[in-house]
Amino acid sequence: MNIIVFCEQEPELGLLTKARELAEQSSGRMTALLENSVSVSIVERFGAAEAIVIERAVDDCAQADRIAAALDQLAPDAVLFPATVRGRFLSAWVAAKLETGLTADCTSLSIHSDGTLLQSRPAFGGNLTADILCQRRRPQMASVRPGVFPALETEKRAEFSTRSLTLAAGRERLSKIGFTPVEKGASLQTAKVVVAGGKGVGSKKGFELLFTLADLLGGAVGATRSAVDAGWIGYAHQVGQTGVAVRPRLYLAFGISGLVQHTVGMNGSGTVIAVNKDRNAPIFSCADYGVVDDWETVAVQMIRNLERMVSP
Amino acid sequence: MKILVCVKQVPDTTEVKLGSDLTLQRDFVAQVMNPADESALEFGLRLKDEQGGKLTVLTMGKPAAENMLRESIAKGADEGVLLTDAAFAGADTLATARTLSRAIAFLGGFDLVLFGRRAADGETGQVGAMTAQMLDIPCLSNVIAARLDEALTAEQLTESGVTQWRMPLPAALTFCEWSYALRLPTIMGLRQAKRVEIRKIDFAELGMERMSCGLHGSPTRVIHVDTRPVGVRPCQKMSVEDLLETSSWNDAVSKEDKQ
Repeated sequence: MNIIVFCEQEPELGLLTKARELAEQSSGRMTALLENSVSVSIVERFGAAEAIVIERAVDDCAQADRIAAALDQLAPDAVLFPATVRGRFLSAWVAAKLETGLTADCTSLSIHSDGTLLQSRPAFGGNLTADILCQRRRPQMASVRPGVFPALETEKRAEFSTRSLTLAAGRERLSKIGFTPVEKGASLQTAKVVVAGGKGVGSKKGFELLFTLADLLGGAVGATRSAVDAGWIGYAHQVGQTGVAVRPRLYLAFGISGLVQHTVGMNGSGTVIAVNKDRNAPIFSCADYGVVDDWETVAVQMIRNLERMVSP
Repeated sequence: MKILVCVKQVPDTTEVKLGSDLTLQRDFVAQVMNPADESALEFGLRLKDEQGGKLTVLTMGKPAAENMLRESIAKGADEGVLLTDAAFAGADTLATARTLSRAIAFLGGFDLVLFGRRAADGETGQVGAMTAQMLDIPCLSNVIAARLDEALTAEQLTESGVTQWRMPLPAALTFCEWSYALRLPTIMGLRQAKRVEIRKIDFAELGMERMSCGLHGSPTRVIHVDTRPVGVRPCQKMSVEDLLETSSWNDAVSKEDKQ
């Protein structure tokens, strides 16, 4: 299977790794589609046989038209996109243009017995995993959230080439007039410790306590979708199916029930400690240690414990 | 100004409960308007309040989805259109977008087409962008605020921050859940909602081919659904005092200190 991985400014290394494995298993090759030449050496290290560089338009609709034109020309069997806000949008527009199937937020990709791409994702409220195929249309398209697959460098390949592909973008109709970067806080993606809160945390104020704990642990704060949707914390902190996937050494889950939509974003973590009042909360089945107690009481005790260590 | 809001009925996730075997208890789950679509509807209603025009609410679903359209009218929408037909059933995102875009053209086109950024049940977040592509209108996803003067300005939330964009009409926007809180119905609106006729459009009226909508028109196929739990670990339950004595806690904490 010949697979193209679409790369944003910072290529998603886990996606490149997974695509290389799938290509190797099916005697195909993995090609990286880049929007600038800065990352060419990175995609080579992660197993691309070829890097193809296209230009970038400001308007993502126009850029998606250009990506669709590139895919038309390159005719891969499958294309993988990072499921970032931008990657999701581009992949949906491209799939509509090419009239092919797109599976969002895959948590597993493999080669099916008939040689097509077997795409698995959480479904129906997140408790079930659906296996999905796109048998009739090409390319088969899937998006995967950053961090879902582990990244592994590979040995240098004998052959590696780079070329640029000049293609007209679609009509540019959107213009960018401003940008405000996200405020403070350690990056969730790279944090060694993640302190996460769910609906049980109950308020913005509750999250302030989690920020205090995260600061003492040198970590970042994560949240479930319901906490983000309630407005207690920003979207940049969302862990799970529609947020980011994290793999810290330690993951602390406070007041999180443990729906699969959340746990698919954290089950690559080292040690998981869950705190919930409900002893039957599903989060405990994803945890190494469980404390059946009020989240706030536990968080306060952890903070005291850490403060004692810092200043005995 | 012609405004269209595309909405979907989803199970009320606040009422979904898990059983002890970790399966979904599906009994008595109420159907509600998808939360992100509520944001889109409220933005559309505010625009209509400020600038006038006509606001249409469109959904594809079972006949019972008519209630959601009446509720939208009670809150200020002018008309509701329901795409309902057995031929539409089992549609994936591509077939859904194809049906919506066909219906939008059939209804005569709109200046603004508004969506929720994703449905709370499927969570794919694809239908808005796909529909806009098929209509050949510009689209911005993940919108948290927008305004319309001589052109449309909208703020898009991404992982790295908030980007401001400008675009000409007609255009499509997909809204985040918390962007605009949907208003309550008015007495006048409730009266209107009772009286109004909900327009129902079926497969034949849209003049689509059977192979382009519903299950037949869907390139993706679910071949297996399984309840295998994701990442199950053997959990040791203990008090917080005991937890703070474990080597795991102390290792995690001390390693962090060394960095």
